[in-house]
Amino acid sequence: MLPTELILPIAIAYVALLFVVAFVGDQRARAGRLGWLKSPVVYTLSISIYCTSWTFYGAVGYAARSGLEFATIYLGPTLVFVGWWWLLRKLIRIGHAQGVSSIADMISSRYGKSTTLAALVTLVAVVGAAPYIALQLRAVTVSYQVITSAGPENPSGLPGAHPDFHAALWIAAGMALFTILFGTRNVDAKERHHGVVAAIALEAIVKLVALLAVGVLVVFGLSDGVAHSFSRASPQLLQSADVFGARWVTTLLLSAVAVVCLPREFQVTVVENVDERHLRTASWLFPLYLLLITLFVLPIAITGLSLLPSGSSPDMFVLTLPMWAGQNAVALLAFLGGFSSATSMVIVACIALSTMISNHLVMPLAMRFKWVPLYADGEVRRFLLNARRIGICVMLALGFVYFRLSSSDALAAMGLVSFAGVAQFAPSLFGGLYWRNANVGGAIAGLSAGTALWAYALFLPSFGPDVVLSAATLRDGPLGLALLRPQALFGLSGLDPLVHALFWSLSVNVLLFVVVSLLRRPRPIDRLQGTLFVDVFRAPAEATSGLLRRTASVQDLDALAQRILGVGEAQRFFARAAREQGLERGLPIADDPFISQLERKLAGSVGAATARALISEVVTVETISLDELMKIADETRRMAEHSRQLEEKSRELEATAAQLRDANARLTRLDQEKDDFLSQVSHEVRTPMTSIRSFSQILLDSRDLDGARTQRFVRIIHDESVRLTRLLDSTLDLGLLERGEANWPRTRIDPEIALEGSIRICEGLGGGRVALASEARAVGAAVEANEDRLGQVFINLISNAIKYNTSASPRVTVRSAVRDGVYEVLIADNGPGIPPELRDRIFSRFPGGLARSRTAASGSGLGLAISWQIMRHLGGNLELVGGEGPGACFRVTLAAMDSAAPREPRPA
Amino acid sequence: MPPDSAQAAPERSARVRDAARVLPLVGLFLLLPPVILLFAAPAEVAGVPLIVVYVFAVWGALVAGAAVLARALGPVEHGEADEPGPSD
Repeated sequence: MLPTELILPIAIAYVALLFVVAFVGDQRARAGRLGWLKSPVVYTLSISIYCTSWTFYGAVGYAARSGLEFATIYLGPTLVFVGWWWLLRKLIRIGHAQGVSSIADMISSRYGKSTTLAALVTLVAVVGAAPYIALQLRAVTVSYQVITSAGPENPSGLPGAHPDFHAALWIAAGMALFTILFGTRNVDAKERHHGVVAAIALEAIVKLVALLAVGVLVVFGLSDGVAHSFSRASPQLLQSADVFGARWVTTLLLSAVAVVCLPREFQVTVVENVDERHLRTASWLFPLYLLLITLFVLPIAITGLSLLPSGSSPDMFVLTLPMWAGQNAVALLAFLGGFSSATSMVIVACIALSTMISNHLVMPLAMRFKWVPLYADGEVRRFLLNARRIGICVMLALGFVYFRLSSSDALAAMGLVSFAGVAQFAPSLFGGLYWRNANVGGAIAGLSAGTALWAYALFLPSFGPDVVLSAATLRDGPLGLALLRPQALFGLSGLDPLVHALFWSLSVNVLLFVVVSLLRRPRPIDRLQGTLFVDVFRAPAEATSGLLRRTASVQDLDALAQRILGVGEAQRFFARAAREQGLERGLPIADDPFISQLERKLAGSVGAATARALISEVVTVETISLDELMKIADETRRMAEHSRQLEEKSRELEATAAQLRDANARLTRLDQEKDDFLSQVSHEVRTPMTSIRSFSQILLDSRDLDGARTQRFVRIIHDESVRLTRLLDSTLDLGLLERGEANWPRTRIDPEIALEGSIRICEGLGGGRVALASEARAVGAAVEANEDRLGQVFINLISNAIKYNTSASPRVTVRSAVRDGVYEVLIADNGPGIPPELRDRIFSRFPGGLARSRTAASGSGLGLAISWQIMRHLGGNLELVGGEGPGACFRVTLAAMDSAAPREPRPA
Repeated sequence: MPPDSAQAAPERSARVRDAARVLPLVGLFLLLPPVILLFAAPAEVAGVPLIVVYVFAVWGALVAGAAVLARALGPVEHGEADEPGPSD
């Protein structure tokens, strides 16, 4: 045994050492020399506060009672960390992006920064943590009693049923003081507690070394190696297949959930994380730490069970075995290890919980009931720090009360009650990370109902009969209602109490969370936060920054910041923001990024929900762009279609490019034609206009013109006007034809009549100079056409052939026939013909040189174009064929109809 | 970076990410009944009960697998974007 006079100074010296480490850590951090404080190893070691006294003392006790089941408590976290890519990475990314300060802050931030939800989560966390803190108090108290009073002749120490509550009270008070000194120096919860992290990293090493030392002593000092120590095991301890039943699955999953949901684990893993990349190291180093610390648990448990007298508390084997072996140094190391694991847990848990209490319970109440003089500089800061200090004391007091009242003497059993309590966060927390439509109603409903069931089925019964629930209630249900028996709810009996409580609480929790979420329509702020959480990897920061638009006066914001942060801090913050906006001096512009930045800054002190409430008080207009939100929400779907669309687009683009090339060529040609056309029309119009103008000028100026000359001039003006009208008529006519708007009656006619009429009209044109010969002619042909229009085509072709025939003995030949159901007219001349370069555009408007050469006579230059359009319109065709001789030959074709009454051939 | 590794990098990182996702599932599969029941037999490996050896072997393998993947994920993680999307 070791005397109190020795143990107490050693314990105090150890605490002093921790203080020094924490102090140095804080100093280095403040000086900006983070160095090893920022290493992934320190981060991993700080996560290992998962291993508390429960692990240090309780794991052996757990193994002695239930065999391998103790390992599930460490296998669950191993799976979570090994699977960090699924969950932890996202949590930490969100934690950084949102400036999350606690698990309550995280959950309430996800659900539209709900104050109610934050308070609820805090309450559940506080109640759930009480058994856990009680466990630490119990472990430290009992280990202190054991090490100071037991000896080789009395190795079992004190019977576990009688812990020294007097000593426990002092220990609780000491721990409260310790935590207050450590953890409540900064008001900004987001500022990392570098000192604390350094101290708990040291404690993590101490507890691992201590447990390994005990293990080595037991395996190689008290046994001849591993095999020997296992040979002492009773057969039922390890060989029972019953271990791997519902309880195995339950505790495995429960510990996996707890390692994320425990407020202190959330604190060290997410809030205190300095660098996302550290998680990569922790993903294997933390499981390795767990593996090492549990390596000797089974040998210690087996050796304790077989060597120590029956009745020894298995929870204290880690301490009593070295004492039994007379190894006081190892026993002292074990005591310090146990002390380390308890203190580090209590410090971090109390820091995390007191932050939650002050931010999510006290601050909203203080705002509502005006407890704080909000306008005095630094008052809020002092108020918050005091709230946290009181919060720490409350936590330890609750732990002590639970310890005092609880009937359980097994450390692991107490810890599992806590695990089941914080597991109620799981549906809201995990669901909120992956399910966009999860909303605040579902979270509150699920969490409240789940927690109520947990309290009724597990927490209250854990005090034992007749403490909170009477023995009769426990046995028969309240008022004898068997359906409501706490440990056999709704008749579900025969299950392990832990499995039973978890089954009901989590089932109802998940059910309500899902159903109420589905029933309730989310508010815009819910959707905004939901998107920020669910799509944290997809939505780039700049895409989400513009979603929330707020207007506030910068003076109001300044006043608010001074109230919460204190004048100095607020001024520094505003000056920095103004500099970042590029302003020389004065207050920054209250734009959206600045308001968000200020909100995050305030959230660091008072939590996201309160910060939002505070900002909302001074914000005059707030809009959330739902369209933008929907865009981001649809990102996934959009991305899924993205590659497919890209492929399609590139195909389309290729086709479009080809079409564009085509169209461009056509357009260029059309443009050219249009230009030609316009200049031609202008030219055509200008010539008669000029004569009309000059002759009318003469008529106006010269009053003494004789009648004959006047007559002549008026005649010229008239003729020119007629020519002009004809030109414009032709242009309009062509326009109509080209747009397909021409609408003439088409009847069954004999085309030869039209042809004959045209020849007769044209006979006079050549003035007898041109020989107009009509050769073979179709007999009894019938077509469906408009006689006038068909005649117009013939006249145009024949008159052109006559007019442009510059041959010495001009001759125009007209032939017609019906061939293969097609009526065909050939009009040939022996003139100069059509130059090859004009052949393919002879039927377009003003076909260049030809037009110029022909306009002089025809006056329009549109004749062929109109004729071609008419023929197309009639369903026939007009083309230029080689014909015989040097001249041109035009062919007109139309579908011939069955001639019912063949006519007599007409004389040529 | 040689050209062929530049081309292989995205494909390899996708496989590493998938492996990182699968590893915990494999662990869960091995540690839950019925698989674990196969090893709850009264056999011993070098004096240690088979089931103890099995549980700690799976555990050790998970740690080793996570360590290997953590190393392989190093460059991947900073390329980011495990889901297709605009990277930041």
